[in-house]
Amino acid sequence: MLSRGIQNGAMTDQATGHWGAGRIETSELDSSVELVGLIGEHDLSTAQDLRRAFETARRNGRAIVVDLSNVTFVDSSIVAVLVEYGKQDGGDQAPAFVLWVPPSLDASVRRVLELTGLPDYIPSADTLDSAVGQVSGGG
Amino acid sequence: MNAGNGHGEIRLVVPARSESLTVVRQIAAGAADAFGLDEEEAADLKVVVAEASNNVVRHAFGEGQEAPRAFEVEIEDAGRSVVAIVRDRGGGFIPTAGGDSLGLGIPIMASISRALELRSIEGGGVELRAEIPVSRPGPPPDTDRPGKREERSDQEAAEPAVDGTAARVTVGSSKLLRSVLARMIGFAAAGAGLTTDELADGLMVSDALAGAATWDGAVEVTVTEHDDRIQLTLGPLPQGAGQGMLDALEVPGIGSLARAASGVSVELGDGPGEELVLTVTRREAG
Repeated sequence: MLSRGIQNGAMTDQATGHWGAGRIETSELDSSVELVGLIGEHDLSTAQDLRRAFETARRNGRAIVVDLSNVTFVDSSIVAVLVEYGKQDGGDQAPAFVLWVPPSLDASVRRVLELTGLPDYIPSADTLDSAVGQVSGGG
Repeated sequence: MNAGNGHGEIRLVVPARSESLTVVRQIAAGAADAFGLDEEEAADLKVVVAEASNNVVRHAFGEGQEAPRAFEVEIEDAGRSVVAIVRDRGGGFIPTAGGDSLGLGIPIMASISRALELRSIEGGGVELRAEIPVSRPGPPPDTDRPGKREERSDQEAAEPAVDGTAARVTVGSSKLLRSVLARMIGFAAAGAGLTTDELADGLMVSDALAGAATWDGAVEVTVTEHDDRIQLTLGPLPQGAGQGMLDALEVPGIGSLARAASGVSVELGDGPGEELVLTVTRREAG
């Protein structure tokens, strides 16, 4: 149903790639939702790339689903970016920023999310369909 | 309380720049393997070392340094805990809320650690020491006796890394080499753009080399980056040890594993001391 045509677009090309640092892949789920996927390990060296990916989606008027199904590490610099964009949400409308946190989430990433309490103040879902449902207002 | 006798220790010196954070995490993961930690403990160690290093990269040396200064990471097996020490010789930092990481690093480290200490080093710099609790079957390893830690004075703290040196790792015992070398091959392969098959070949070579590292004592591995290759230099080695490791690559009927491997080549170094050089040749970008 949801086609996930991952585009190795500009964002991916900008990712540092140095010493196996993580990549960011963005894809358009439909005209109103952008999937921003973190792949591999992410830290201070990719935080700016992530911010840029979120900015681009926002500028295009799209809600954002953050795909954490392929991430193997995040540090507090990445958490800070997620908070920056995630908590600007508010009001009665459907959230414009949802984390897709699958049950298979990497142990170290789960640890950091738990310790920072991130899922408490940013909407999250354990399946992609449910995450997309939330940003589309379908619950 | 004390931090052991140095044999169960892995020590790393890297430039204080964000690109080093991957290397630091790889070494933390290698240490977790070498010390037999379970998945959660390994994750805890990696998170603590990463957050401490993140603080150094962001705060210790300020903006506008021409060449990145170095900082030091030590990970030590202390039996019921693993002790991680991250030390810089910068201007010190005061962790505050706000800024790019919202001051989350220290609370994360404090939640994970059994004990967390931050102290200023005389003459400048900060040392962070975290004890990460571990539980494992069997008796604790023989590292829980009064250490020589006090002898290591602040003078010995990190010096600026030489140009082109991406990391310098000291493994306290050759027994720990296998896990650490595997991780270093992993990040060199990632940096050089090797395929997974080439990486697998490289890991076979590094396993065979580490298996032949049977002497008693520390091993130093230096990673250097060049335009066309990434090199891991093991040494100085005990007399004959380099040749011994090369011989371990010989498989009857096949020849040298290093010749069969496509991604990594191995040879004796031409430096003054005995050393072994692993070369990972960079692939053309896309």
